[in-house]
Amino acid sequence: MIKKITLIGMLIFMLFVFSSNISWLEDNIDTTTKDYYIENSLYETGSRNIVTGIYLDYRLFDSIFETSLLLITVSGITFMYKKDDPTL
Amino acid sequence: METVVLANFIQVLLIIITIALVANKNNTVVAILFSVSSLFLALLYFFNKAPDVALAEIAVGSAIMPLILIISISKQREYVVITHVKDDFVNSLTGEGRKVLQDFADSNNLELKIYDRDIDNIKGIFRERNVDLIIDRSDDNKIYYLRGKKSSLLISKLENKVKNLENIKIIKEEEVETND
Amino acid sequence: MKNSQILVCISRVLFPFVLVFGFYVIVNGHLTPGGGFQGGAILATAILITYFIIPERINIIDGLVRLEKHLFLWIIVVGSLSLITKGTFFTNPLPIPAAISFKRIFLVLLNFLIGSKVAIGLVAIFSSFIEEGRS
Repeated sequence: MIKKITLIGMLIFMLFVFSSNISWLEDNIDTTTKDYYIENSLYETGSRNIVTGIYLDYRLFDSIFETSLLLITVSGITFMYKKDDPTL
Repeated sequence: METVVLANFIQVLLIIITIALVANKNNTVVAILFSVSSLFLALLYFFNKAPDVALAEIAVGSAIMPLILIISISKQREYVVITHVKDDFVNSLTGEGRKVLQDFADSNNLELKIYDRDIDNIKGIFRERNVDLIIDRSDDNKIYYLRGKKSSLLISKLENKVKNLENIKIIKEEEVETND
Repeated sequence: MKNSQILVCISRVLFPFVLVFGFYVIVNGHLTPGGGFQGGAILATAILITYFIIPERINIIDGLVRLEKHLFLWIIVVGSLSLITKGTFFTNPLPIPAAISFKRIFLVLLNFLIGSKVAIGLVAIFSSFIEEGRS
């Protein structure tokens, strides 16, 4: 019972903190990066879709290691799948 | 204006589906509810002007993840038994142990699978190979030992079931700690 | 494993459309929403549908993982091409004042490589899961 009351109290506190932060964020948005991408991404990367321009040109380093993450996952899963074969 | 109303409606629906997802005990229903909730989440992404994320969410969240969940659930429905005994105890359909195990598996809605291969390293086998029961026999007298995980609920049920039979004895083994 | 006739019939109709949509999302990644990962996931879903049509054993998982490793190497090679022309890693190898239609070749090529790699990886994941559930 005490656990539940504490949990609900914490959730209400977090809701209060998040909602107050959201109203604070609405007045203080920094738009320099967004404006830079909207103005220059077609000229610099040749992509009409700004998301593609970002993840294949400005942030290609991140994308390549994100694909390596999938490769490591697949290698692990196939390793665990093959481990069962010889005995059972 | 209409999309805002629709987005709010989807948010409320998503909260209801998520509560149902957490509260539900049936695994298959959980897999289907997961798929439905990820569909509505993709719709919400689309209304909030993120169609990239919506595409990825639809493909991964509502097609591939439920498949993996359902395969894992169907794997859970098997009762894997390894036998080291060569006589008719479990190997023939009319054996005494086979009848008991089949009865037990049917009453718990499981699928019985019996393998009679030798495995050298018994330690840690329950955890790694997903084996539920191992059958051994003592040489001098006619007692069959069924060895299973101590933490499993099924082994307690099986122990209750074979309490009256004299030639079957149940040994509960502690799980071996693995390093991974 | 025997599937119902309705599921098989609808899967046969649906499969080519999903396949074409996946390729469309990959190839038009620089124009419309989508791109490598999204298109690859849709392609993997299309290949998942074929398991409903023909439930057979799959024993090409090793080959899939090997192909994925080769594709990852190719992605790194294509991404590092800018080391020769510009002197820095991981950006477009063509200079900034070049024509837009030439710079798009790099984007389409990289999108295609990433899309095929993601599709092969997801196919390998759920193939091994299907095989594990079937044994």
